[in-house]
Amino acid sequence: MCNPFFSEIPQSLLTTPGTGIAHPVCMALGVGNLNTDCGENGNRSAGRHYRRPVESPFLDSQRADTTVLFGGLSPRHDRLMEGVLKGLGYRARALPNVSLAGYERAKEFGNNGLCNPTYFTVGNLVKYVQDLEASGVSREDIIARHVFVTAGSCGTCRFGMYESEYRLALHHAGFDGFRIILFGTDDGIDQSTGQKAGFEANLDFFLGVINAFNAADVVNQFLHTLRPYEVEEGAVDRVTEQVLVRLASFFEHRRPFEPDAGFVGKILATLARRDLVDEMTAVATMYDEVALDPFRVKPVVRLIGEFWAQITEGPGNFHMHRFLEKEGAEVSVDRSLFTRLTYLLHMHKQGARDRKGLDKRPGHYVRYYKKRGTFTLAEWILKRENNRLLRAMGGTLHPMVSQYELARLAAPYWNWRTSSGESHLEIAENIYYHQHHLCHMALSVKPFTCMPSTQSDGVQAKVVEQFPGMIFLPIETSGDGEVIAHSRVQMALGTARAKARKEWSETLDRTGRSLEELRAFADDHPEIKRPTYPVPHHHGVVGRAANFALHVAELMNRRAAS
Amino acid sequence: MSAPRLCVGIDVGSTTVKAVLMDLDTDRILWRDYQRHEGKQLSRLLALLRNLEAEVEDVRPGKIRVCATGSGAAPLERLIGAKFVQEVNAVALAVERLYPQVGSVVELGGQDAKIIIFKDDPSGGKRKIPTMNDKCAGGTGAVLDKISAKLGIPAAQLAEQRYDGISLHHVAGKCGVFAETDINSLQLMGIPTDQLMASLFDAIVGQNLSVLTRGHTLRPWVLLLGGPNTFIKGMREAWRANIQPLWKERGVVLPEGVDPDDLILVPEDAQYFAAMGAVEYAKAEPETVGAYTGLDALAKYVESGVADHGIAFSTALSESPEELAAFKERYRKEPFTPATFARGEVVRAFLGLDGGSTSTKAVLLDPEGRILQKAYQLSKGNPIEDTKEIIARLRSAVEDQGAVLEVAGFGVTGYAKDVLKSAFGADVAIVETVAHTAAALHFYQHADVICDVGGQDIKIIVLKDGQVKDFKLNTQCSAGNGYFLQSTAQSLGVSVDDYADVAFAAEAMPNFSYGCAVFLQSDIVNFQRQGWKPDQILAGLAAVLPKNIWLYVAQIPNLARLGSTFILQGGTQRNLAVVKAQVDFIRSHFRGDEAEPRIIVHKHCGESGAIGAGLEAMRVQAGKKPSAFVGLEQTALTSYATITSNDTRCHFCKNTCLRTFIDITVAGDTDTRRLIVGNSCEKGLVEDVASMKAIKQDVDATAADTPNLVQIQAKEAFRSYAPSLVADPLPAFAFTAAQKQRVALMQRRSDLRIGMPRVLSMYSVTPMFRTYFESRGVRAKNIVFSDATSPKLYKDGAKRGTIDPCFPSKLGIPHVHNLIHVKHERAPLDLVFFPMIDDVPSEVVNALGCRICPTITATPEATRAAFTKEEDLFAKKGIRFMNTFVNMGQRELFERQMYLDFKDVLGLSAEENRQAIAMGFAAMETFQATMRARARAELERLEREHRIGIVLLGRPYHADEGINHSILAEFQKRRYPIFTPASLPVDDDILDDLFGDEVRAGLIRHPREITDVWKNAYSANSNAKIWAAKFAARHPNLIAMEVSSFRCGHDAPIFAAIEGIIESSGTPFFSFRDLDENKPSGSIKIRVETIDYFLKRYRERLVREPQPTA
Repeated sequence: MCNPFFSEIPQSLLTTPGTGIAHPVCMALGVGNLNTDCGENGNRSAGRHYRRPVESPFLDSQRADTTVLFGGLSPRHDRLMEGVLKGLGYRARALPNVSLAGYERAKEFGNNGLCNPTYFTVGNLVKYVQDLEASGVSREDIIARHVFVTAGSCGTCRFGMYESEYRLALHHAGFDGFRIILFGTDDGIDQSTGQKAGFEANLDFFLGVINAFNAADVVNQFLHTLRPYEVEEGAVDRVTEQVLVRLASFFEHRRPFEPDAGFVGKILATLARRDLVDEMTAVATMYDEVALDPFRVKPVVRLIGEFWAQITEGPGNFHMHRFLEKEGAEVSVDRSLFTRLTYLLHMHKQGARDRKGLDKRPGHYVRYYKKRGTFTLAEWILKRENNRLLRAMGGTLHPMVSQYELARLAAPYWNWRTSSGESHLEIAENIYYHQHHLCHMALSVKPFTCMPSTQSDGVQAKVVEQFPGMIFLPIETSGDGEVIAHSRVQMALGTARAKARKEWSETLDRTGRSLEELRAFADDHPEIKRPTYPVPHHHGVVGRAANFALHVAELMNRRAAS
Repeated sequence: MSAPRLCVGIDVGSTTVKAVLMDLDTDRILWRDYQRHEGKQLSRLLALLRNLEAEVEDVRPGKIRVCATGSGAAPLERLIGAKFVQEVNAVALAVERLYPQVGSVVELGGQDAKIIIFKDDPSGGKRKIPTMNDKCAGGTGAVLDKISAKLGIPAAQLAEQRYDGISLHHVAGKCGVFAETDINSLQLMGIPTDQLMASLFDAIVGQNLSVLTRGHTLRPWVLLLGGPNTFIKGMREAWRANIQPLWKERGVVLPEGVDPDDLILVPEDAQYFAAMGAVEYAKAEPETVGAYTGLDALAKYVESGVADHGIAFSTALSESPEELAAFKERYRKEPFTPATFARGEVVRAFLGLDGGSTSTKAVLLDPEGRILQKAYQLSKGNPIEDTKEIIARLRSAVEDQGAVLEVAGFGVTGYAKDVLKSAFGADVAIVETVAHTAAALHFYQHADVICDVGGQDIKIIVLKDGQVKDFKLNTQCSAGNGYFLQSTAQSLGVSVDDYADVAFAAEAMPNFSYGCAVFLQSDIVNFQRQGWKPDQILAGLAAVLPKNIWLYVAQIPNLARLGSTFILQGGTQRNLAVVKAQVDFIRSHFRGDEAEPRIIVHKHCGESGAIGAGLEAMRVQAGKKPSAFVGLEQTALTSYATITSNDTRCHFCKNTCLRTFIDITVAGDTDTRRLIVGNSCEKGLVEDVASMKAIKQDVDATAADTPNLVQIQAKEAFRSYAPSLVADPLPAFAFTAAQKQRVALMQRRSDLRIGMPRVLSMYSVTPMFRTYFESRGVRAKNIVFSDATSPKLYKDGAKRGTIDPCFPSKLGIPHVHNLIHVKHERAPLDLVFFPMIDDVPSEVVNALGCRICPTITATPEATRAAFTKEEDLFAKKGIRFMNTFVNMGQRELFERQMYLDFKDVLGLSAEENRQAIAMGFAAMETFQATMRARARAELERLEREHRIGIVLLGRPYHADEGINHSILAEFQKRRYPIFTPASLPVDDDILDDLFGDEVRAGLIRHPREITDVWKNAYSANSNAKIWAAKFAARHPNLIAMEVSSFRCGHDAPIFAAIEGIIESSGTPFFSFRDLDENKPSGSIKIRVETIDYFLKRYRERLVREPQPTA
């Protein structure tokens, strides 16, 4: 049967009975756009039904003349990742930093109601290919000679659906067929072409990425601890630029693993090699050239929140890093990617424990303990590698916090099983950094409509209530509303600043010395002002100036005693 | 030179500038001033400071200090040497000095709302908890300003406006745009302005209490600061009325011997607190901080205009004067020449009237559809009054020429159409979309796209060969609409008529981010701060309007997809600046086969709705019937009175709607006709029980005949499936403590009372949990659910909220509040069970996952925090709160999770637990089978009768009428059966009929698979929604209707896929997106009526066509 809905409407229906006047409304509201192609069984035709876009493969044979695009992390992570990919033989290019113009493109070409990491990152790719076309590259060439590589996940938040959003926005922008290659954060490469894939997410790739992210994380943290205290404005940025050039080159030209080293061989080689550690030691020397004034009293603001909003630097989080520094704060940033990796390992490990014994098939316990063992080993490796780089940089940065400790702190407030996003991490970090006197204030950045992050904020209200003295401010980030967001930060920062000043004043009293005396001693001993000089953290004291003053006083006392 | 001992405190807010000159030693205020700046923040401040310099000799560079606070204060640091102080910190400093006993402060500013709560710190002293609204200015003075201006309330009258004793109506406080929409609807129903304003006060206070306090209790004493609190009596009363019940509910100890009213006070100089706080800040700073540098730099800055935008900006609305001149020439408005009449001529005309949201328009048409006369006027607040005036004007236009007007037919449209039809006897009342389409096609038969932008609504109608192919309407948000432009212009001191000229004069304009009018409002403040001038801001707003229309409302990036002839109409497009922006945008987004779009501004742009109504009247009255119109004389003599009080409240159901009676009297008549408005259902249309019963009978008959599976699901999900009691027998012997405890727990099962909130996934999984408990011996009557979602339930409980997620999630707290404060009070509950559901069994085959959205999963955790933050309310009430984390999609794990949590609550054995889970799953199957059987029967009937059914593409909680705003029920009343994704039958014959060909062709492996349309199939409810879309797309008697809640993170990524699935098949598709806590009745009504009209035409084709043979 062919459905009668799809036949043409008789004109007689469209006139007012008895008058012959054509009725414009009836004319207008006859139904258009109907599929008149009926299927065999009379239902709407299978031939005309929507199918998701066909995904073009990226093949090994195309690798030589294809540029692998990627991006969306901090500029430093992207730079080092580019080095790794080039070292693996790809023509790689990191996308420029995200921009409001890109954000607008994604709003125009993508779905409505997305979170801002989606808008910024998707729009950034669309803008890049559009700019490329505007510069004279043909659309066909752009599609044929570029692929975009991004992470995927099976998480419950829309991050797992980004891939489709890239494709949709590119489709609307006229770049149908542009290849989006997905490698899962826990699933490995996602390609099934029948031929060798052009992009291989193999062990070389993952070890390269992990090392690059480790280095980028450490540089990232380090520069944020220095910049507020630099004597010459711009010095830290200048050195960082040189550092990144050096490290990117290092990763690009790093000696590859022996081709037949195998899984265990490559892991062992990673553990045994010291070349990255040596490189970071050289980086530390470069930073040591920067003159600091550690006596500047500044509140330390710990930036926590959703992963991308934390790590991006620019309009994606209202330029929060720079804004805080401009307002006189020291920004304490996370080892975002390493924390994320250890978090995922922890979640998988605990998830396996929840299911222990449920699988009744033979060998279950062997598989269970093997899995746990693998995760434990991976955790140990990550921690060891991170510690090696921290030591190379002088040991001035706080070591990576154990995921078990974080889960324990969050447990009274949040069930860690609520996966996706940062779930219990935000709560745990707020408590940890407060309890260990590592920040004066925590600023949680969360994208507009971020699902998990919004809920944890509800729980933070209780956390703040139960920890007197804790200063916590959540900020919802999006592409607009920067001025008001900054005002709210200034509001909380006012209290944090007062807290830092009070701490300073009490500390100075505790030293029993004047600032001038302390400063004179430090000037006489410039080595203690070096960026990599490990000033001890004194219990209950947060600020760099206060800790430094106490240390200088101790040195003076020691000197006086001797 | 001695250090300066005088300090000026400046507060540059979004609507006013305030300054105080204080003596730092004595804290004495020596001088003060307060002025509205109308968008000219810095120039008004300059004038104010010049006055200060003139009046006080010491105010000279180097002689005084200056500190500035407020949203516009930052530039003053470099312009006059002022030290910047963040406003909340400034207010806190002032309060700490002047009112040390204060427990909390509420300051409402023009764009900001701030709350500071002072709590005793265990380490001594006071701890300060400040909060401030984020970028959304809902719940602030801006909303009050805008709405009072719209209602034409003079400042003096607003100041005296009361709250106490005034009848309140529901107004959304969350968002200024929503509030405005609600007020507008109420106004058009004839609700008096005092009730509108009192309702707005209530909404603003409620919004601040539910969001801005972040769940903290406003402790006494409460200081009310800021313009609205200071100047408006009703605002103060609203705070008192709302705070005191909270104190009672939360057991706040009040100081003895003080009237609670006196604990909530407005201090002297309330409007100067931020400025005084800025001065207070100076005291703690070195004396060199804030050294006044004089006014030269500020004067230079003000005079030179925009010097430092600090943001991306565009050049002017036009490329060059020549281009602008060419545009103006091309789009020059054709002057309308009204018809002239001979003396004594009888002018037989059809009257069309559009009672719009902000204006009333009317036309007279001759029998050939030519326009004889037209009239337009801004609404004065009451549609009956407006109609009387505008008809009188049309009548005069004819009769002043000595002719006689005879109205042959009267058609109405617009928000007020139903009231006007009843009041004046219109022959026809048609929905606006239909009216606008008719009016466009009357003049432009080859139109492809009609874009109508009115005061409140944006309508886009897409045509093909003169037939409507699709339409898009803005949802509840009237972002960037006409009224927004108008009111912004007025607030910047520019009249609407001058808007275009002023905007065209701007040489540059800021780039507004499109999307939300409230955010635009925030941007305006931001841009003003950066020095943008009113003309530039107006140009920027005109430029952003097309983005809101085509990208935000229509969501169409390539306009060539729609066709090539665009008709622009609606009052807003009388503004040439808007038209210029529209033309440029359409051209730049028209990516077609080298073709150029044809863009026409309707020659009767503002009156197109009225013309459409007139044409419709002409059609229905053609040639015969006498018009039902009451007549011109009677119209002029019509008077009316409105009554809204407790006496008008409807008591026919638990909603107890506060109705308004409009009694209409025509002079000379003894009878008064009563119109009833403000009712939420048909029962409220009458006053006596007998009439109500007749209506109810009719409604019930329709409901019985037309199943609404949304309602059925809402009912079936929470009923008892009466499982057999298969609990273990009590152990004969109990020796150990554990055995004894188990016996005690088992004995207690029958008395255990368990409360569960009626929210979120509970709409799909409750049969599992209910059966789990009942099968172990918990009595069915002891399983208690929170009440159905209602505005009252939400309002009562939302004040504990600390975050602003999607509305369905926000309901977690109010529903648990209802369990504690209503259900528990009636009969004590032992525990409240609100499971954290992480995944569910998958209904879709070969999906990658079946997870629940993380917002839903985590809601019980956030809810628990809300009730245990200041004190553990559960413990206090003797209730155990259990939010067991469950993976229902992994049965063995689920069994373990339930066992671990409930073994010590119910005294369960592992085997008992396993059986209970099995029985729960069996109940789930029965629940689904019941709905599917009902749906199958209805589908078969639809096929037999060639009728249309609607598939709701929504999530389980959209079965909650408090969330779906009864939209589906409206369609049921119009006799469309409603199906839910879970109800769609999965019998082999049906699946084979719909999907068999595709399975056999290898496009999919299973009929219940979605891999062909959606790759990232992780979310259980998204997967179900997508499969339902596929089902609807393939079934000839079904059409699809998507509903989605604002901020839904799982819906956003699948919007395009859903549209693709439905539209590729040619299936009619409608959507209600961004549903939120407010019910935008006006917008819903227009959509429902439009869709109904559309579907009627659609069905007519089915009925008239020859029936197929088997």
